[in-house]
Amino acid sequence: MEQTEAIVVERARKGDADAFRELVESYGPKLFRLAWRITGDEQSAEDAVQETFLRAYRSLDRFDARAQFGTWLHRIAVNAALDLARKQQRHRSRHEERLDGLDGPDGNSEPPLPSPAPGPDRIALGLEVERAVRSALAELSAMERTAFVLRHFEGRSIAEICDQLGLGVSAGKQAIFRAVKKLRRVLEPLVQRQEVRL
Amino acid sequence: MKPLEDDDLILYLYGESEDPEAVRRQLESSGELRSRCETLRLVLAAVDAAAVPERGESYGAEVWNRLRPRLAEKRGRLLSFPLRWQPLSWAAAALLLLAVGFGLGRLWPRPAALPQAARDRILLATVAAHLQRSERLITEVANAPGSVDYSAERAWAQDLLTANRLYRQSVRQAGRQRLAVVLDDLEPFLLDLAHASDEPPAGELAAMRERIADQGLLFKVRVASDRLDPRKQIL
Repeated sequence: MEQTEAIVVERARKGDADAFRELVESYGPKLFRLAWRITGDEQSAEDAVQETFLRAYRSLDRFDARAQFGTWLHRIAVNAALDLARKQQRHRSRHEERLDGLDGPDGNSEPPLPSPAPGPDRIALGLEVERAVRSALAELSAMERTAFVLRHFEGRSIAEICDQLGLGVSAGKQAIFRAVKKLRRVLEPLVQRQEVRL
Repeated sequence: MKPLEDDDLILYLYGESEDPEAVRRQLESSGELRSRCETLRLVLAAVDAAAVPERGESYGAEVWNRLRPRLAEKRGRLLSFPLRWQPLSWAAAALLLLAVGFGLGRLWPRPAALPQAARDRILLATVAAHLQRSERLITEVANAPGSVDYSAERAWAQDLLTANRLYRQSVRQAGRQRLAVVLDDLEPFLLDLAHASDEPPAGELAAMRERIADQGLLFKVRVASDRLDPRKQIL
């Protein structure tokens, strides 16, 4: 399987568009899942996938054939998604600053708790948990979220994450710790309820 | 023995604890710690509840269809020979023109000095082209993947650095102080990249990208280049 992919990559490097199409079709869904988890937004995830393949395509002649293509592509995708997540956050910060002018500053940097539950008779608890998770993930900084996604969903070691994100080991660990603490603040009340079946 | 904190438990649950055996021993001996660890485990398990939006089986083909038209304009843009050597080509062309001009001037019976305004226009057009090339390089560094060979960008930066110093001197002499400041701001980036290793570590690249973002370098260069457009020249 690996050998087959290596042949396809080599063909793509030589300018074979069909070979590159094979790689796009093979890796597209996986990269979308990764990008969605980092950006938390479908359109941004789509953009990140496109950007990843564009960057990969124009850098193909610099890809070291001895390396794993999937690993190389994964790194590009993480960078592309992280860039978009940062842009989103800058945009959101500006938007919130404008809203703060209307609502008055509260000076609280902690993530908000999820909105009150609409009642177990109306909405399944699973949906409530899912909504809370999305809300909590949205409150993480782009770097915290990316580091957490790479550790939690992608199973990367902290050393790999630090290398990929250009962080020191201590900074990488702290990003993950902060992410888990923020998630815990929102999710712990739900988790502790006996009804939750995880 | 040092009491365990939540950070230690997080590392333990992710299999990254430096001494998992010690953590296990403490968990066995403390019900309160076990409870904290279990809550944390449930919180992390709950995170998996966030389902990723579904994509159909044809998703890969859809990505390809959207991507295909954009590929033609992208391949090789970064490292194409003409682009990499453009700064030198421009410099060589400018020198050649100067030499020819000088020679013709010596031979011409009634040499007429180029009016100051015309010389300014030529200088600004040349600097505008330099800024556009710098903008492309900044964009490439800001967006390129971190795990590749940067020798081409480094050589490109070296060429631009030499040109940048010459142009800065010229625009200063021409009284274009604001433009000189932009070229001043550009120089540290070119210098950093020109002296980077061929495969700079991820940390070095991240720092470079952060400086680009923090100083708004891309924006400054883009605005300056835009303003050198003769139709809206204000620098």
